[in-house]
Amino acid sequence: MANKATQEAVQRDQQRFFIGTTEIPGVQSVRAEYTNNASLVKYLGLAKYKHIPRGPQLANISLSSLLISDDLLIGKTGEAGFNGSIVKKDGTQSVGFTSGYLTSYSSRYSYGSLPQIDAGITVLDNLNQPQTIGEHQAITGAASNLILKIPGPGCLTLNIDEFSTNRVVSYDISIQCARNPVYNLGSVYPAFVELITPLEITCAFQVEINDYQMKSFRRYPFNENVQNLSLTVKTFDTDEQIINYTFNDLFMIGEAYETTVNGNAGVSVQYKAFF
Amino acid sequence: MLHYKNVKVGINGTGLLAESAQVDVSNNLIPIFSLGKKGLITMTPNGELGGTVTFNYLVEPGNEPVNGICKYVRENAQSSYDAYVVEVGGISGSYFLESYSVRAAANDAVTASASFVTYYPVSGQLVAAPMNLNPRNNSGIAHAYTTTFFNGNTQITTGKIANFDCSFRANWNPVYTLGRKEPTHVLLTSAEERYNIEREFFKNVTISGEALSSNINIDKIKIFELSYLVNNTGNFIDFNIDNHFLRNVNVDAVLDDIVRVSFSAEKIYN
Repeated sequence: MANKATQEAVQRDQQRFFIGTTEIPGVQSVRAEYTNNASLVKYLGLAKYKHIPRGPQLANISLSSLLISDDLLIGKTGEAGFNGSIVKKDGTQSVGFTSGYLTSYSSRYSYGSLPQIDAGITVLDNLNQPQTIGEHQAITGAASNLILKIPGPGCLTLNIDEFSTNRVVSYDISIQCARNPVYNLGSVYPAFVELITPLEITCAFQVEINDYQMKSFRRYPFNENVQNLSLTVKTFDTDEQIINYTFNDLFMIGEAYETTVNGNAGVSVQYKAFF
Repeated sequence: MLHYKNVKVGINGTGLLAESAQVDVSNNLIPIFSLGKKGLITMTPNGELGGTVTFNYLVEPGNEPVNGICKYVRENAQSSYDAYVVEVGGISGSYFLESYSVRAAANDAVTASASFVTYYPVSGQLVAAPMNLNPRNNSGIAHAYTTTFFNGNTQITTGKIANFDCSFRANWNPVYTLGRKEPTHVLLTSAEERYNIEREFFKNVTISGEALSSNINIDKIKIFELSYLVNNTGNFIDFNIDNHFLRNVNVDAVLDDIVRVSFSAEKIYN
């Protein structure tokens, strides 16, 4: 008779992802990884291969979640770093990290699906290390208090200056938050971490239109198309706002008009901004 | 044919983790011409036979001969010197330390380069030879991680240095006598040492110069082997920044980085 497995697999219902002591809602997947900075050393009279550490020691976390509650990641695009962990349902920690910095954020949606948020985090301190004792105690005692806020088709409103529509077919907003960790001699850890500004923000939208007028690409560089943009995502049932993205002085970098026998005419617009 | 894996590199028998080595030997022949003869009469020596050998290598504090040679030359500037036997791939000669530089940069292994000069013929052939290198493990390498700073006996843990390099140069004068092709002895005429240190703070340069150590509050740098991270002790090489006069301050502002300030200071030995 074959031996039965004595340990159960860790399934999705037993995993919760926290930043600090706050659980991130709607997480679909998390990947926490590192490769060490070992570098092969060759030398004349090579008697024995050696490897030595060269370059910074980093770990990376990629996260994908659905926007089904408040977006807690957009607020991490600033200077400050944060700790986090994946915690088992019984309160024990699967993976923890300290001094994580958000390096990329994107929020995207296309008709027929839920808005999705992807984030990239660089870990400059340690991975698989318990968070601070206070944070860990708060996490292990935390009950799941997720308040669902489910968006639906038609619950997105896009305002670009005078133009307004709720017929957003898709959007893709991405923010690159490059970091400059500054290292000194005598330490494996950075002395401090700078946020490299300006942040580069790219916004792309596809909307169905009726009287939309394309701009002339000959306007650039003499008459640049600079606009303010606001995108609001609301719940499908109560019209409660889930998130509002507001960007000023967006610079239009591309526009596409599309018409097809299989659907309605639409435009795709791409903007870029630097903050 | 000699493969790099069989190239023995050593100084007085101590092996180095050399990433490259060059041996150069040359004479000082000049052409002799004469009126009434269009062609060359002969080539004749017009100076000494000489050569150099240079290395670039990774530093192992427990296995680093050049730092000791450099220290000896600095501390015995008025004495006479013996040459050191330097060997590369079976070719060896008697050499004097001409230059030595060590560089420590954040997150990287400490590298060094050294050049030796000779006024004597070299000997040997390219032959494979076993490396007389104590096969230390990886923890024997000097590294940015294990670079420490001191003021007196107090270890400095704030206001650290991002990068530093130390370069030393000795100027030798071979003394010849009539009837000999080789020098009777070789004198040290002068030596100089320069430190370049990179920090985040600006300090002005005065016309009369100031001691670098008082500017940066650091008078000694010790670079330990990597095992220091675990053991808090181990082999090290050290650099004294005493009476090195600040000569230059360079402020470097580039995009997407902090402003960095390089201090350059030097000391002359003679």
